[in-house]
Amino acid sequence: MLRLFPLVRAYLRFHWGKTVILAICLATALYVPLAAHGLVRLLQQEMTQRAEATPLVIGAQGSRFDLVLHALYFRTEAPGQVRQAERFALEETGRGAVYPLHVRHRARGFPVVGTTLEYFAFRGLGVEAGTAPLRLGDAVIGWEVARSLELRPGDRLPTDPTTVFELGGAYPLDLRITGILERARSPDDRAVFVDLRTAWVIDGIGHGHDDLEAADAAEGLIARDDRHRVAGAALTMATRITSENIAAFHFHGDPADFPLTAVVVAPTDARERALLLGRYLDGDGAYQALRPPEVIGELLGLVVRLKRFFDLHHLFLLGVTVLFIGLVMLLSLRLRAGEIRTMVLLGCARGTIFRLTAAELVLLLAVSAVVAVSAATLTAFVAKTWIQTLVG
Amino acid sequence: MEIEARDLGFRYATDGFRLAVPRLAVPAGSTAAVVGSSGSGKTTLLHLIAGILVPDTGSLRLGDFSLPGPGEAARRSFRIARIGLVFQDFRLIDYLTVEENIRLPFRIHPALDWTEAVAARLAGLVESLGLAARRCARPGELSHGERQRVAIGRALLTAPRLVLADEPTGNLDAAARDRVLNLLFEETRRIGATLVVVTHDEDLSAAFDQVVDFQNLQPGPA
Repeated sequence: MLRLFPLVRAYLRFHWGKTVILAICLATALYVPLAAHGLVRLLQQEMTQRAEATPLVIGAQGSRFDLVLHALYFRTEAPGQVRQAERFALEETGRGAVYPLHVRHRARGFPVVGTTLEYFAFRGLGVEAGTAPLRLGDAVIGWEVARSLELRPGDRLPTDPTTVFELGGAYPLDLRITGILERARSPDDRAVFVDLRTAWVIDGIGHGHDDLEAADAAEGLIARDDRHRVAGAALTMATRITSENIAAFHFHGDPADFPLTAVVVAPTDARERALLLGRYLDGDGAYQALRPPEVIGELLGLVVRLKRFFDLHHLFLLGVTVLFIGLVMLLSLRLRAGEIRTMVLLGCARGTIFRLTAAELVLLLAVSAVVAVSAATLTAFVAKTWIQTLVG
Repeated sequence: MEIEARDLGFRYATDGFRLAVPRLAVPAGSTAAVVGSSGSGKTTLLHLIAGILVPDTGSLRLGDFSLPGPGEAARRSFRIARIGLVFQDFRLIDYLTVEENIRLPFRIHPALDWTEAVAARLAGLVESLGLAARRCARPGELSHGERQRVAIGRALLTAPRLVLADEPTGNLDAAARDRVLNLLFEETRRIGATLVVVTHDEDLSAAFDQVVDFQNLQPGPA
């Protein structure tokens, strides 16, 4: 067979156009299922990893998928709100570490995640530059946010307006970036982290404005009596928290009623986890407790079922491609009748002609397979960072 | 290699053409021209001698090899190792270079071993055929005469004991024809091979030791 190789190589090189077309067809037919398999496996790996690093998620009743995807990837809306009282209650049980999450706003398209400093330790997030958000209005941004928006500590990042046409709504807040997180290859890279109180300021629950007691505040006031002051639209609201106005920021209402969108809990052990789950077993309650690995496993089950359908499709595609290549080879043999006749006249066996044709097919297949595997590997390599950032 | 045929008969099943050669004897190392008009069966005779076709009747002996006798595989091995074939239309492989075309028999038959001696013979042949500067060219880039020489090179590389050439001077002018014939004579003489050339050009007869005339199928001296 080896002695035939130079003939095979010469033929494929001479008819490079046909060779390239066939190789592309074969490589594509091989690449698509290979890449799909690689991507699905990577997705499974990364999603499972993030889910397993998140023992329990507590949130409002509603779609389990929405709640878990919200708490893990900050990508979907939470099914509802969790009162902060629930967080306090969980903390009081002492059954595990509690990490409140408030994800309702965005800044230049990136989710603004209100949480506590403990969340960074829980996720193993280190600060690459600057410091964690220590003051109201401070934000620490993920690695990808910093890279995309070219932001550095000290820069400002305004939150996206949520109520453009509602004058009485919450105003965007100009966040002060105090730090940039190390690259985590996770959704945390694409998030803007703020203190919970800052998140509530963006909500409009807390705010800062002109001193209504001051003598020059009259034009912002609509009415006043001994106990109450009623402010009008002319009252200047602070959209940036500074050393000068931070003291003017205050919150209205009972902190126990302040909203969260989810609470991540890391129980101290399996027993505590079971007890915590038991706390939410009553389906009529306002909240639900979910184990992300189970929910993500269920979600991935759907993906795998979908992949099986596409696998069948790819198999069919591969079969059609092989038939197409077979047809081309058959027609090619007809075109090469003269060449084959010459070889036979010289003394070449029919078996050698068969081996020659087979070697061409094998070489073509080998080249296509190398191209397909390389492309699939490259795709997985490129997609890995993307998938890690999205769901890792 | 000596050729001896007796009462050789062959008939094509397709058109019914029948060839009959009562007697043919070509001594080893000699040259013979097979002449006759078109369609008289010259090429058929060449194919019978080469073992490409198998005679229906009679006997054919090439040195110590008899036809018909051994099977197809043995005939193929004998042909590629002991007989050099020059086809009328050259039958070069369009995607192979001059060198690879000449080397083709060694690529397609496991009985032929590529050795340093063969490699040296190839280099010498390419040189003597005047193809040194064209060794990397493909048939499509060659002139008619160059293709002719490549075909002769391919027939001679195995150092055959018998060279069969089918109209090697067809479509050539007188000067080119003489060059090709001289080349064939020189190269076959050098390796001590018997040369049988099919031609319709009876003027060439004088150059050969023997002429097989298909008009009367009576071989005789030129």
